[in-house]
Amino acid sequence: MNAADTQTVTDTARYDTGFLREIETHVGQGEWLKMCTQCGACAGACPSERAGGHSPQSLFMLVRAGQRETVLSSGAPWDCLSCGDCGVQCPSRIPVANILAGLAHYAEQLGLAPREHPNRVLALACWDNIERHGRINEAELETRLKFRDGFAQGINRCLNAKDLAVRLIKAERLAPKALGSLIGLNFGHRGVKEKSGLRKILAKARALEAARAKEDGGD
Amino acid sequence: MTHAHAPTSGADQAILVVGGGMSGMSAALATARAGQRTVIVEKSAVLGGAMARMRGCTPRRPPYTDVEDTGVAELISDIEAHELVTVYRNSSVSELTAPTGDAVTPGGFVAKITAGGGDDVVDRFGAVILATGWRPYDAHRLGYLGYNDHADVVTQMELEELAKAADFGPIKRPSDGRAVRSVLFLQCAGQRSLVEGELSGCANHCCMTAIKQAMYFKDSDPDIETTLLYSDLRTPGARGEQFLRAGLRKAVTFVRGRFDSVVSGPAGLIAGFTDEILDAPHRQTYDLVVLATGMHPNGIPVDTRNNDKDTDPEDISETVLDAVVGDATRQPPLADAYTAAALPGLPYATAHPGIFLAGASKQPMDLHRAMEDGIGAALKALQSLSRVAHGEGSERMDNKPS
Repeated sequence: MNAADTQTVTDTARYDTGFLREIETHVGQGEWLKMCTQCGACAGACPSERAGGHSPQSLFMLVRAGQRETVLSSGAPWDCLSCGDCGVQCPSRIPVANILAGLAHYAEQLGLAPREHPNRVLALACWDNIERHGRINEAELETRLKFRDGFAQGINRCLNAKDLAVRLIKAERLAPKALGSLIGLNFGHRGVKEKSGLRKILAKARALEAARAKEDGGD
Repeated sequence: MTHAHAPTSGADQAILVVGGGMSGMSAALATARAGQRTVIVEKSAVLGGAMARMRGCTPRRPPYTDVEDTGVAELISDIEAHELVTVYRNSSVSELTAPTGDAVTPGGFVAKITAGGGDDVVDRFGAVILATGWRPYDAHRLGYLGYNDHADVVTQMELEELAKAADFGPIKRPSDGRAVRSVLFLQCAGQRSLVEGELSGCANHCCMTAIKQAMYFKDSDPDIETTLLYSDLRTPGARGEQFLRAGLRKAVTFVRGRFDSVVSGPAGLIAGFTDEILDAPHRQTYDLVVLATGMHPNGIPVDTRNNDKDTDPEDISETVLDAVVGDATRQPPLADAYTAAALPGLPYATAHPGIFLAGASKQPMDLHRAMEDGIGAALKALQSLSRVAHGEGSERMDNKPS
């Protein structure tokens, strides 16, 4: 991490168990985090670290150092490819990748996640897509992502990707007619059969999650 | 005597143990249980040595996760109950004469035991076990860690006394008697150091001891903040591994880093350190700072290379020392004060046949190893008696070049 980051947070951050306890309460499998011996095996295994964010090791150390803002606004949990090699290498058997996913989720709930992180943008677009169709409509997903910053940007991005798009269409991996969903029509893409059932499932899951959050918060 | 070579329990077959700490008592109990008359000479008024001042010890038994009782009281009562063991308290060995010269005969030691306020006792022994123990490195040399200026900067040994005084209640800080809510353990304070005047060696036990002491706090109240600053943790073996993980499970905050300073602040002690994982300097306030200072042997010259017999005269007499160290210039130089009165390859032997070393007077070690070491020295002493009974010389290292 760079010096500017540490200097700003060090003044208020404390090495203690406060943030650790918060993570144990709110992040799935967070109770494993305290078992970290800082050996660095996960950092060595992680293919995402070269993207420039924090390694799992330094994220876990930042938790110990009480640097809450740095951890929750870090791009590192969003950089995670979920390859799981960190957990395989960990001599303390910590489910590292699961904790990173949990940290990303918790940061998102708190509104502290890095807004413009490309993987966050993709993840939210995927989720929106799945929620509406019950499965991914790839053509629609790609189009929405390309046009997320306005029409002119979108056209520009589409032209840049046109060679790839043509090849995908020829190979029948991309169906242009699925784009009908953008204007509320369905020419070819098949979502799940019973979308009302899917919505009930999701509503129930949200209610359970909210109930659990309320219960955890009341501890 | 029915067998010509059987060990006897005559006057020359008794065993003298100098030091009534855990290694000395373990040695004495072992020799007494083997049927030999054994005499313990202890300089203080109580048996137990350093361990008698401690509240608990690192675990002996699987799953190696919890602080255990030291077992001092049990060992003392075993010693006191054994009819073959005589204990002289407040006493020292003021003279030890032994046959010397090339044609050395092991055994035949004559010791003058000077008891505080009593008459001297002269006794004959077949073998001598030196288990004079250790004392902490002088923390006054660690002024930069605030030891000289702040009552709340203590050594691990002093924390043991605070913990013992607390009697499983809240541990209170010395300056104002307030219950400690945050404690910082600084490992390798004045040891494993390249600074002149500090120890270059590792005292072996302090990482485990610090985890144990953090548990004193965590077990009484899990919300007490315990931080352990280390350069590298040395908790070897299954026992060490399990105990470290137990410390992690109890949410001791382990920080790999280097300490810089301890100064006083408005709400307590302000410790400055650098986190080596995040590569970031940090300052934080603590109620108590505990220094893991090194071990210093009792009764062994500080530096045999310089023939500097800087030793506590209460521990042991010059005559004994001469017998133990022998030709000091031939001793291999080891780290710090532990210049190895013990000889390489012969873990209990000294330059003098029939005199054996046990425990932390020889090498830094923890309670468990010191007790095993006492039993090992007892075995060598018994072996030595047996060899004498068989008319052989005892095991010794020939210090002369061949």
